[in-house]
Amino acid sequence: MKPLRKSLSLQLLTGLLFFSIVPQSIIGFIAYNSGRHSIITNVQTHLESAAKFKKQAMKKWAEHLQHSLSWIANEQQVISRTNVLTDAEVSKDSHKNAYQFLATEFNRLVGLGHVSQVFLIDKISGQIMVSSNSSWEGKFRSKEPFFIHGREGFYISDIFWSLSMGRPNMVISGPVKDNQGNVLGVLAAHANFDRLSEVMLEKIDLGKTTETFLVNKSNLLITNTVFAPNGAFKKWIFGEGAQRAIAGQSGVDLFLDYRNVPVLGAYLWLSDRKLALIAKQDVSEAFDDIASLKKKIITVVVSVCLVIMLSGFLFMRRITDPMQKLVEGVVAIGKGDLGYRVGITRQDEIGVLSRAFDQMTNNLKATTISRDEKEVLLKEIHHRVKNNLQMIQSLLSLQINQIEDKKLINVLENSKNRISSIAMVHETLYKSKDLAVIDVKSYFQELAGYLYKSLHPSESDIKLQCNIEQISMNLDSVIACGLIINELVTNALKYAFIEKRAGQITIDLYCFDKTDAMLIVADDGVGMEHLKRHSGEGSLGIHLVHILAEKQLEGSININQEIGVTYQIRFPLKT
Amino acid sequence: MKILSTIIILLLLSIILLFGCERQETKAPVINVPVQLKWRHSAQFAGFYIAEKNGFYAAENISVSLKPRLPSLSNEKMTAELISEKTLFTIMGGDFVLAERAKGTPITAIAVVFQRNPYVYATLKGSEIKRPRDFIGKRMMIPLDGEIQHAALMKKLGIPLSEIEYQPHDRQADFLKNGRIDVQMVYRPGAGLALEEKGVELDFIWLDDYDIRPYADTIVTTGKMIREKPALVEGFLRASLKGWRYAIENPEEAVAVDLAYNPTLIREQQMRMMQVQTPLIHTGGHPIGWMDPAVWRDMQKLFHKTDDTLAISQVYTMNFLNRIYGQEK
Repeated sequence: MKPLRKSLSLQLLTGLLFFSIVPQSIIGFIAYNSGRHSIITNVQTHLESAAKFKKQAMKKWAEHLQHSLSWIANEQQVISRTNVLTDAEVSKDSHKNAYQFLATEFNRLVGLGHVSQVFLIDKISGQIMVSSNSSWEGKFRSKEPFFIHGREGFYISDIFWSLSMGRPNMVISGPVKDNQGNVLGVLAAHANFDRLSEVMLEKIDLGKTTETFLVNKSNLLITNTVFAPNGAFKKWIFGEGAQRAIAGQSGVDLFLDYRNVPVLGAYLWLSDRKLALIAKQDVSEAFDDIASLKKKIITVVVSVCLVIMLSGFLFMRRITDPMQKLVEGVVAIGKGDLGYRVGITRQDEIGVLSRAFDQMTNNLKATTISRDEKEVLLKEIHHRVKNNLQMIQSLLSLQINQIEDKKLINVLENSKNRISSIAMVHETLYKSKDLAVIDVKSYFQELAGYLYKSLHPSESDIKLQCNIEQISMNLDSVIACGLIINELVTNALKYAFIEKRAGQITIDLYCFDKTDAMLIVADDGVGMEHLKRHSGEGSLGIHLVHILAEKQLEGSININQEIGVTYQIRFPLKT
Repeated sequence: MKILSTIIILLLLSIILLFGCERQETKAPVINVPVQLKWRHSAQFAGFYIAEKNGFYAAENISVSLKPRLPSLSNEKMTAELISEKTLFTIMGGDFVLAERAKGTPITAIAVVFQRNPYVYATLKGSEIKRPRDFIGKRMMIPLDGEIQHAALMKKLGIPLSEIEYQPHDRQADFLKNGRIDVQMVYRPGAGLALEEKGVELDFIWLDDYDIRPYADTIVTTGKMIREKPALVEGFLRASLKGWRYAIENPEEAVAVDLAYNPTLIREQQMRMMQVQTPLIHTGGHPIGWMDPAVWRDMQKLFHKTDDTLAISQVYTMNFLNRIYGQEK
């Protein structure tokens, strides 16, 4: 019975698991994707903001430099001294005074810390006339873009390596004009370039792998990075973000950086500076929250599933345990144990069912006791009937002993055998376990044996063969068949082998076409004529056979006399 | 089990067929490219060594043989070998390219190694000589290949050559150290470095700062090569420039390869050479190897008469650099 319980448990658990996992997985999947999208968007927004912030910081830095230079270039004293410097002869005091004033002014500007050097370039030759660093005076910058463009307006150069300074440099320049707008010279300043690296390296609160840096149009790294702290001007960057920015694109995306590491990054092309600005964060860190979210969702789904499974298991036990008891009860009752009680006292439907089951068992037990008592009584009746019939037999035997008329003795013997055949039915019945079912096979074999034993002439060699099928028949049909066999076997034993000392009597009983039975009693004796001669035309036995076969069994008789005598009686089965 | 075996066999067959049917690329034979260097093996050519060592040339289907220059190999002979295709590329001075081109020799510069002028005036550290004007009345030693540049600068600044006292050039002499001269014009990564190696502390006045900026080491090939084998020229140049970029990014590795070419060199000296020459090669303003037409025009003015018949556009070509880097933005 355990497989039943297991099967039901399995089905219930599988069902619960399915209905808990599927919806939770769908919800978890949707939640994860939504969360992932939200996190990515958030990081992207932060990186974009960081890039724009750095761009703004750069712009402010450049504007501040430009403002400082513009302020000094437009100062009247600077303009007038520049005018003197370009017009007066070097040997004149006015020239010397102008030079001294400008040198002092330039050094004052350097002292403010935003620029490292300031110098004034002759508008025609490109030669440095005055510089905060006197060793630079006399050098030529006529080929430099900051000189060429600086004559026309304010200009910020690309970042380049200065041989004289031995470091990367960026120059901001602009014209010094007189009141009529004539260009007197070009004022230039070396920007304090380290500040740009500091701006780029200033931490954004996005994680330890986040970095922003500048790359020029030749893919050269312009500012130091977190992963290349001394990489400025020594390293070329060919990450996808830098490549896209140099190609003039701006955006935010997933790509491989210069280390070949997957990153989430924002990239901007700063067309006015001709620089690519990249703000990026390693995917492993950027997606850390996604991994965490994934873990949380999985934990929740698994936990809820476990809780549902545990609850389901406990709930299922409340159903399957009583069912198991009920099943065990059914099995026990089936085996005859009417004392089994489920005994569940719960107040729910299961309790009601249990009590109904126990009540049913009680009723069944009572009914069974009543039936057993009746069966005992019935057996007793059969026993008494058999005893009474045997008493009649005994009385007839006593009577026979006192009679000398052989004919009368024969009549009484026949009657006695007929009573015996009836008594044997009752005997068979009360010996059987089931009063409703008669063991026809053993009854007919016993009856035939009894007749053979009683009537078999000692000097003859007659054999009796019984081929009886165990078919189900009611008591009346059995008694009728018993009487028919009694008559026919008695006749055969008495008359069929008078002249012929050897032969065979066969009794066949079998089911025929499922609804009918066929009883055949045959002998290979001398035939019907001899029987008629000895027992007389219209003897009681033959008459009785016909009455029993046709009236009692409602069958038909076929008599075959080709070899001996064969009675074939076909009758409908009644149970 | 039977079905599983069938699926595995079919999969294996598919894989075999897939690989079997894959188009077999017929690789062209590797082209041997002899390259004549400007000088003996040293870090001066580190980019070429790295390109060879790291397979940058191999990726272009090229096998290079880098030939150091022997003292017996004159400039003229070096050019003759280039014309006769005994060498396919030569590293030579830009001034020499101009001179040869003026003579009608069909050679063309395709890139420069040193974008900045490596010639400097060296003075003892702390000297009062801070600018060329301070040379007046001082004793000076000028190498033969620096005379034109010096004269041009003096002319530009209006300083008569007669106001400076010149000493005959002697490469081996320690005249600056022992005070026999005040100024010495040197090739910064060469003689300049050698003086420092001897313990002489120096200050430098860069000719580049005074707009005297001829190209020193240029990569040269013939007009015939450019016409007939442009892919080879481009491939060689691309690999070489990549090699130089790698060498600048990884100077220690570059020096290690350099030492493999010339084991007699001293590692520290070569590292110093890399440090000194890197700003000349990698300016930040332009990509490595880039040439400025204005510089070539200035060189023409510097080394030749402005009215000579030399067509400067034939001296160099930007075609290959433009293909490699794209047109400059």
